[in-house]
Amino acid sequence: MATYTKQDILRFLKEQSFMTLATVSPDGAPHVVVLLYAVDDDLSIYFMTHEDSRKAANLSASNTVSLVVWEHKKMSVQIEGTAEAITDEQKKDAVLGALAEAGAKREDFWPPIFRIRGGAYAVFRIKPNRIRCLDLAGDHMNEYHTPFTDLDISV
Amino acid sequence: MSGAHKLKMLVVEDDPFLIKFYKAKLEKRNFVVFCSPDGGRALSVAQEEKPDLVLLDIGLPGKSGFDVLKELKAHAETREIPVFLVTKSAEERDRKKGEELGAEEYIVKMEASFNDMMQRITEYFETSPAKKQD
Repeated sequence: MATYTKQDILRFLKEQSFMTLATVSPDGAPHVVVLLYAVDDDLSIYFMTHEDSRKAANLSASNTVSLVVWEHKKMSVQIEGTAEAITDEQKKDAVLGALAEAGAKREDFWPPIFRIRGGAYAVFRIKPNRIRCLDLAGDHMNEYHTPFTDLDISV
Repeated sequence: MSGAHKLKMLVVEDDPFLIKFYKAKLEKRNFVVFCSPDGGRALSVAQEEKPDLVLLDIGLPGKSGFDVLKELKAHAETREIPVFLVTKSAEERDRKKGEELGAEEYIVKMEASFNDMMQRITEYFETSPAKKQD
């Protein structure tokens, strides 16, 4: 059973480009979307959406999010955290660049956001408060070992 | 589109994400990419860098893509540079206007993926070898 380090998880997150992100509506309903993301060395996750999108409206009411990034036979990383809008134009521009690089890694990926009309772009940073990783690499799950690694993000 | 000669591409696009996305994708395909978020700068970059192809959005702040196209085709030093209009507009009148002003291709963003666009570019250079040799 693999026990993953921060570096293992970071490497995996940098290889991937898409996450499944859950936000919560003002009346408490979950809203889940698949999104392009970028990650920095502190494991903060960045994403963009339209200002008029449902997830942007949800985040203005509650900034609590949960997300997962996974690949079959490799790893599944679950992250819980809080999202904050990035308003500094220079930082926003840098994040758009990182997202473009993340999307460009995928052959023939053409972001659906180009086909959706919804106002200007809003950019968010997710600061994780919990990271949990599931080993999907082998067939060694059993009842005696937990397949999860809970990453200590305080270090 | 192989060999040592790297083709130069000028991307004129005001969407701050799309312009970066084009650049990242095109650089992976071995293009040298110049970017301009508006029409005014696009003209000066085209004159300075003499790109092998221009990807030109129509809806730009200030000078529209049609204005830029008209000026590119009016100047002797940029007249021969092929221009692909890449736009949200699927309106027939815009397509016709682009053709009248001398655009080589008209691509609707909502209808074509990046790979579709690359295929049109590849086909263009394969059928216009003289332009590639410049």
